[in-house]
Amino acid sequence: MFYRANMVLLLVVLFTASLLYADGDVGYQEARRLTQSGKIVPLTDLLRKIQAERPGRVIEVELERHGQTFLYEIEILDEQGMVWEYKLDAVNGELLELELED
Amino acid sequence: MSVLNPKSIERRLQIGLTLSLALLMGLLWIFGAGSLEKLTEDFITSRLEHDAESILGAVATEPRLAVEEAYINQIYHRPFSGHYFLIVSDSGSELTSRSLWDYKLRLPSMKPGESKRLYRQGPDGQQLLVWLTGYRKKNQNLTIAVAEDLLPINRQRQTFLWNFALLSIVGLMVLLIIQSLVVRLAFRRLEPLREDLRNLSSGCEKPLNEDVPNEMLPLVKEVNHLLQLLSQRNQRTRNALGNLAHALKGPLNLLTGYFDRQLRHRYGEQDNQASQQVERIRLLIDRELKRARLSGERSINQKFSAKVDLPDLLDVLRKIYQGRNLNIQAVSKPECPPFGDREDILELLGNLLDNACKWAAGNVVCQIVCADNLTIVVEDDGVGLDVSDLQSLLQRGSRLDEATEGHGLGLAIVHEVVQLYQGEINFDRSPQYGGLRVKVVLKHL
Repeated sequence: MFYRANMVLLLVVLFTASLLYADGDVGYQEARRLTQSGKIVPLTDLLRKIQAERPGRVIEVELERHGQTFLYEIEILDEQGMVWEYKLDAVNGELLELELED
Repeated sequence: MSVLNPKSIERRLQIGLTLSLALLMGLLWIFGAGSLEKLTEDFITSRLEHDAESILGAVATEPRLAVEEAYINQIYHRPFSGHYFLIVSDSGSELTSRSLWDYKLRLPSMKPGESKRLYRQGPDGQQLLVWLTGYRKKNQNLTIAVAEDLLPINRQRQTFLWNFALLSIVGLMVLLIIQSLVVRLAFRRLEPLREDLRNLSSGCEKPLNEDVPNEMLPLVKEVNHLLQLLSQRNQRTRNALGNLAHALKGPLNLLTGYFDRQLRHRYGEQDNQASQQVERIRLLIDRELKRARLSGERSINQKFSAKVDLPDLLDVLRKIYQGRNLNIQAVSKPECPPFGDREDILELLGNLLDNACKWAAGNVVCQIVCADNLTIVVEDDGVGLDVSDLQSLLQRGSRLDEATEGHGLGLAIVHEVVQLYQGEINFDRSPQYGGLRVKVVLKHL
């Protein structure tokens, strides 16, 4: 009985944790809240950094939660018609990955 | 001459055209730029109004503020697409389009029925035109803001305005070139007038052609009037001079006769001097009368034409020496173009021929040859002259035979004319006719 109660408690804790630290897409309204509370860098700051080296238009933006951190995936269409995918740390704005989309 | 008031008509027209066209184009540019801006923004605003109404239709207020995504244009989903909306309810909840992502727009809220156009800085350096309207839906006051980035259309407008300015400048240049051509063509019509004036200075008394641009006609008419006046005045002066000389001739003849008689009786020194002066006056008058007859209808600065003037001159000489039955010949070969001043040449030829006629036994021959220089040779078959006499002939006013009148003065005039034309004069014995041969070479015609 005690074991069962312990198991239930563990499951509840794990479930809550998984809710808190679940991986996956974050919607724009959540992104707004995160930016306003200062947890992530505003998208305009990141764009300014990207466009300084590669001017282009924003095609798509996704904010993903990876454990405790957030990741921005930004697709940029440059002047030559190439689509570049930037992966940036949304918390400190560091560039993690850059690839040319196939 | 200042820059704005130059002497050239063409330059004046250019400045006038440039200033007025620059002003016109500047005004057009300002007006065009203003209307274009208003037009585009009005157009965008009307589009935003429609979008605001579609969004209003898609808004749900219960249980919380939301929009039916399917009714919303995709452009409002792509982040920083340049098209955004923002809905604020009076309960304080706020809903933005996905395109706005995390960008914060600060906008005032509107009462239902109110609307307003605003300009705001957008994300990614965008310039937003914001259309704000207040609505009331399901017991809630909503303010819907719809915004569009003006940057692309502003850039296009800028390009258009630059092109317009460039086109205006090119147009202005083309107009200036066309105007310059027109002015030059108009002035080319004045070329015949210049030709007429040039002819006038070389003795042609024809009035100026009045087929000129209307603007020039008064001037041309004025000149023609003046020409006519001058010609009449000349004629009157000439006639008066001739009449005076003629009138003086009678009294002078009487005086000469008187002195001749006096001299035969008493040989006073004073009488002798007076007689000489009277004789001089008579010679002057003779010369003047002869000149009047020789030159006939003279005109200012006309050129001597051997074809026209020479036969006339010979006629006069034949009349003067009617009684002596002289054979006077003049040959001009090849046919010379008009040369020199008619008056001067007539004087020269008249005096030379007159001299020759006085001394000739029966023949006087005159030859005119024109090449680079003009050569006039007058020969007669008279007694001719000694070498010493030939030398003294060159001196001004020297008279070789007191008995034949007018000799010295005539040759002096010949001498002056020759000097005037930087020419040479030679006297020798004619190999063919045996009398005096005078050869004149004129250089500066």
